[in-house]
Amino acid sequence: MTIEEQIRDIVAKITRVDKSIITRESTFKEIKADSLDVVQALVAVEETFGIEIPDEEAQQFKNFGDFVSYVENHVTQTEKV
Amino acid sequence: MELEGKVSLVTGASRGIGKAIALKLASFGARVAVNYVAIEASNKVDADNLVESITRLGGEAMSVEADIRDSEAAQAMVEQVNDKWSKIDILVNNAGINRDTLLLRMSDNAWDDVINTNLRGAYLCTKFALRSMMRQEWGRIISISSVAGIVGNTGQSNYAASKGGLIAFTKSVAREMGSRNITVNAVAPGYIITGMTDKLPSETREAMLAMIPLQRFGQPEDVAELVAFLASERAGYITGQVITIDGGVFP
Repeated sequence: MTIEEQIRDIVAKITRVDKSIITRESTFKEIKADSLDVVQALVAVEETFGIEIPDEEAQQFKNFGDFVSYVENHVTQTEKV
Repeated sequence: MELEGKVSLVTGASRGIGKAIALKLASFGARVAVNYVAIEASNKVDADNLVESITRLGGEAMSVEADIRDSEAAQAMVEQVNDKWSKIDILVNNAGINRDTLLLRMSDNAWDDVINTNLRGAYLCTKFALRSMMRQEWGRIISISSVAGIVGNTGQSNYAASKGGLIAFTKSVAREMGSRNITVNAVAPGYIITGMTDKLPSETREAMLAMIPLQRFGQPEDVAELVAFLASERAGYITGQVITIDGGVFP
């Protein structure tokens, strides 16, 4: 499973939306994610990938794609398999 | 048993009110993690004895050492419980100390020690325990405040500030976590007979007794009953509340 697919699963589970509607262009509002949903997704992604996403960075995410890109850029090569 | 299958963590559970809470939760079928701090050697013995008592009564318990003022220690404690029982359903923020003195005589250490244990400790344990509760969309957080945190008390400005802080913390986290079916409440005991209150001079105790409509001091078990209720399914529509349990002194 790619990083994007893994994050999509995490977000869909938390927001209870069908994961097919989550595209890289989807905003959190479109995914029906409130602030707590976003925080819960951040924590789950941090735990899954063993990274830290500072709040200042997370606040810059305009859509799902920004979130995925950030994680892709910060996960070490060995974990990307 | 109404807490069958639930996993609970009680901080500062080696003696006093925490011990009574641990026993009560276990008697309702919850698995209980008994936290203690190894500052005093007797705490480990007390915690291990409590685990043994619970086990002997047919319950399930474990002891976990952690100085909850320390972020890493608090996180490690929560992970230890998660590793053993795969979740945490009920957190009781009970660990507390007092260093009583009039404000003019208060040392910075006396202030910091009390705030760090009573308030920072609860903040850390709650933050880490919430992760499991959010995943399962069920949780109970119960913090042991004090009537001193509502009405204040001479000689306890540090203690009262920490306990009042716990109340505001409780109300805020209750708002944050409502959508996840996690209830967050505080109980505010009055005069409860424990090692902490045994140190008070007898004249003070007589004067306090005269003010209690129910004409007796509280027992740790009185508080434990209330905590067990708040931890149960029956209390599912109660959140963000502070329930005073003081024999009627402050109605």
